[in-house]
Amino acid sequence: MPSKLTVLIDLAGQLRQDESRPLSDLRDRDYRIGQSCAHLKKSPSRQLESWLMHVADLGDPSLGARCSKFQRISVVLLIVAGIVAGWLAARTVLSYDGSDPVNVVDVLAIFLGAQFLLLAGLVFTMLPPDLLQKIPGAEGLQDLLRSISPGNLRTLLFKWLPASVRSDAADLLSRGRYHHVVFGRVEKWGIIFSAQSFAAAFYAGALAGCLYLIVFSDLAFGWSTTLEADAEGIHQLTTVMSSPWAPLVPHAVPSLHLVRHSRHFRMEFGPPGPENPARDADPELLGEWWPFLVACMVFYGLLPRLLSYGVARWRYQAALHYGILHAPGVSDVFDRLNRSMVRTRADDSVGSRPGVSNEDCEFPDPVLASGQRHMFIRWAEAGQGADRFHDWALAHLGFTSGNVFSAGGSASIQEDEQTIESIATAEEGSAIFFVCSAWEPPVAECMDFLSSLSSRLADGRTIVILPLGRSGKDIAPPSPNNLSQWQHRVQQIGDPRLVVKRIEPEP
Amino acid sequence: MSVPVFAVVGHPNKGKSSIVATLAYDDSVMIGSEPGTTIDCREYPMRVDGEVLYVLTDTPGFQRARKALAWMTERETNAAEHPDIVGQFVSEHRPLDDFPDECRLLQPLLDGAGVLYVVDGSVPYGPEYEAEMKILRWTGRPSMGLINPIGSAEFVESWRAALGQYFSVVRVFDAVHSDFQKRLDLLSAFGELQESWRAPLARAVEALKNDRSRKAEQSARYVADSLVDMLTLRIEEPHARFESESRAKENLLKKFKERLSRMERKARDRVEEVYEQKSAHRIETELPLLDHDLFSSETWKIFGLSRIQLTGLGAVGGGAIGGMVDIAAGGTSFLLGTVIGSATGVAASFAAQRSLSKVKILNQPIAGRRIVAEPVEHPNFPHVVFGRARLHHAVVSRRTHAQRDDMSIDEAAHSEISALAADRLRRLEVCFSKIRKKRKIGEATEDMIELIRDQFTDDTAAGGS
Repeated sequence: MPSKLTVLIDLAGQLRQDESRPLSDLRDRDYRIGQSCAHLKKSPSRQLESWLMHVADLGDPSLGARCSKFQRISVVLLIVAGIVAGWLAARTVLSYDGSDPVNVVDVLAIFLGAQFLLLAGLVFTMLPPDLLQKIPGAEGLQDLLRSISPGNLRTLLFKWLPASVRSDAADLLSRGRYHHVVFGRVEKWGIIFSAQSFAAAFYAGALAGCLYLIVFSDLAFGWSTTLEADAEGIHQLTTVMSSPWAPLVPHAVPSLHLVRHSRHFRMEFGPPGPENPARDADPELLGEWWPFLVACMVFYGLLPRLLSYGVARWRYQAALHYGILHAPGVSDVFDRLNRSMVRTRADDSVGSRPGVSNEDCEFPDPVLASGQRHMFIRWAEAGQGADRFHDWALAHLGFTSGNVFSAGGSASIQEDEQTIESIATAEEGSAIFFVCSAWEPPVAECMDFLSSLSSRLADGRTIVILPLGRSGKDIAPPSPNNLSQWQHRVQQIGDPRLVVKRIEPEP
Repeated sequence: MSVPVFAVVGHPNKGKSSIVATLAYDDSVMIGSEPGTTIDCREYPMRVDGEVLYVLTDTPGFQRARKALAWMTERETNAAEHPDIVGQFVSEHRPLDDFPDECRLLQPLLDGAGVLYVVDGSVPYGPEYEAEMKILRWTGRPSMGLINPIGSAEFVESWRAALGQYFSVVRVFDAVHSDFQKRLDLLSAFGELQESWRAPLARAVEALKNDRSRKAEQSARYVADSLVDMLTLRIEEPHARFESESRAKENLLKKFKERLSRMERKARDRVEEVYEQKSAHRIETELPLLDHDLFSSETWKIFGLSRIQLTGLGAVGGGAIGGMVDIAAGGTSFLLGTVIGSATGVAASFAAQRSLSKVKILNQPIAGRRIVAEPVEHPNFPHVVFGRARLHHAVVSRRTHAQRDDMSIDEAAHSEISALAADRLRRLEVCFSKIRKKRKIGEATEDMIELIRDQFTDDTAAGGS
């Protein structure tokens, strides 16, 4: 199972890839995946992981897997560094050459005093941003603490990554900056988690170093202070400090006798006596401090660090979990996975043909001698009444209408045939005018009529198709689009006898 | 139970395909001014989670209706046999291919489809339509007359009277300009044609409504994300010492503006994809509003807020922070915090109105010289971006899939968008303010998505009223 960091990084990468893909593709893809993992609807993070496994094509190993590996290695290195640092610190603090006993106060100050300060800093770093905003200067201090955290050692280790991984990761991180609510949280807890790994390892190393010196060398402990402090007071303090383990390990609580006889003054003059008890103390007695010191390091050093490590790890995992569920684009993925898919479009993309462009064609207007009488055919009652049409033709075309026939529309097929017969046998004028409504398309029935008429004409008469437009109730020139549909259709027939004439607008 | 099928039939070039494109939200439907653009039947199934609720079938137009009717009339014996005669016509003539269009358009009706007979209400009624209507009546299928006024509605009434004689239901439906509610009303009316069709059509209407809300929300998310990205955009680059500072600043500012424009365009592309309007060509260079550069003074004037409004909003933002101080002080500050906060907000508004992005050179001890373009602080900026996004969304969401002209966003479209309500403006400003300060961005983004979604829904609905 991939780690959460792997999922988050691979998710961010996949979502970025998806940004350049058409939404319709994503919809189809995710709907199908949603159907196959519908049982995970109530577990969003698992559903998202399942989705990622279905869609991800991020290379093997993926960037997320490589970054996770880097994360694991960096944590291991930090742990090793912590152990080494702790061991060295123990060797330094507990160094004893036989002259002066190891000062218990030094040990406590270094391993516990510093610990309390660092833990206070840690708690401050862990504070939520909302709370920090209310404390003046708190954000700056938190940034400072974060910048000196050993967790930043990861950044140095980052430089050891292969250039390609580094550049991909930096690219994702820079994008993440816009969404720093999500990625900022991961970064913050990532640093804290790394720092706590180091710190816990440091105390483990220090404890190990301490035990090693106790086992393999003879250490003498004493306590020393310039301040006025009596043995009773110190004993009281050590008793309080020992209270967590006193019921479990009673011999790890320093006795008053030990405290009283292990006080050490560095000045060596003066006779041994109650003023300088360590001088005449039993060397075995001076070594009895070690159970107390070891218990202090375990209870006040290692255990709090293990606890903070646990909390940091838990919060880091929670931040990763939050990041996975709130990364930019994730809500879209859930939407596509879980919502109903409504489709209204056709399944295929055939069945239509592109329209013919009107712009590339030119249709010359036929030239007709004026003053003649011509026959007219009104298709589907185009134009106005026959009487008015006669006057209009004379006024606008300069022709006198001879016989005016009707065809199409409410006329029957037989009536159409009779009209063709009548026109074919009559010899009037040099052209036959076919008047039609320009806004009605030239349907096959109309074209059949014209073809039939053309084939029946034995002489050289032209059939002039005259599409009429309208302006209110009056006849008007046709619109260019309407005229063009007739011109194109007639051109498709390819009969030289058929021509389309445009009515010119009135001057 | 069989799925309702509706065959959209009629005379050629009368808007059948436009009606199908609008109802099927499909911009792949070929719509042409040339007759005969549709040469074959094409089905548009409406599916919810794979389940087909109804099917629209686009058909070629009648080409030889009188001839076909004449053939049928010759064989007429009594009215009960009319559907059989139509069936006989199709089975006899399909192999002959002498009535290819009639055979294709009548086949779905013989298979049980309902009839949606489409006419153009902008041109006069003609006698040639009667044969078509008679044939359709002969099929005996439930039918509806649809008047689609392509352009004007001058002849709608005369058509209504003519269609009323052949169809029990006659409706007017402008395929190109109908709003979403009218489309749903029409679908509901289809369900009334036959009792068994009512339930699936009601489910389809409900699913389309939900889908519409989802589209508004998705669009709001894309716009909100782009706003967050644009408001927090910061570019930092190394700066070589030998390079002129002014030129470096100028180049970086140019890059900054390009990045902002790219972010805006990306959101727009996604919104168009959400509404499946990807094939519409968006005009961005010639028209006076969206074509203008994001930073042109005219755009600021139209979409942004006036200095007075900005000052007011500055006071609101500052006052809100001051108010928090008052609350923290338990009221002992006598609302001094609010007053000071307001004054600070006003001053900040005036100061920020002067520049778009601060570009500065940083001298960093380790990183060296860097040139940085800071996020835009101008208080008007997010309002301009949001205003433009609103206008774009309104145009896209109102546009039907039968519209094939360029998607232009002009001043007329802008006037269709009402001014933002004062309450929404204030809430939006609070969101912008949080994002700018990078505080609770997630929460602010969620608030913003909700606000934008509501505004988008209102804008779209306002377009239909």
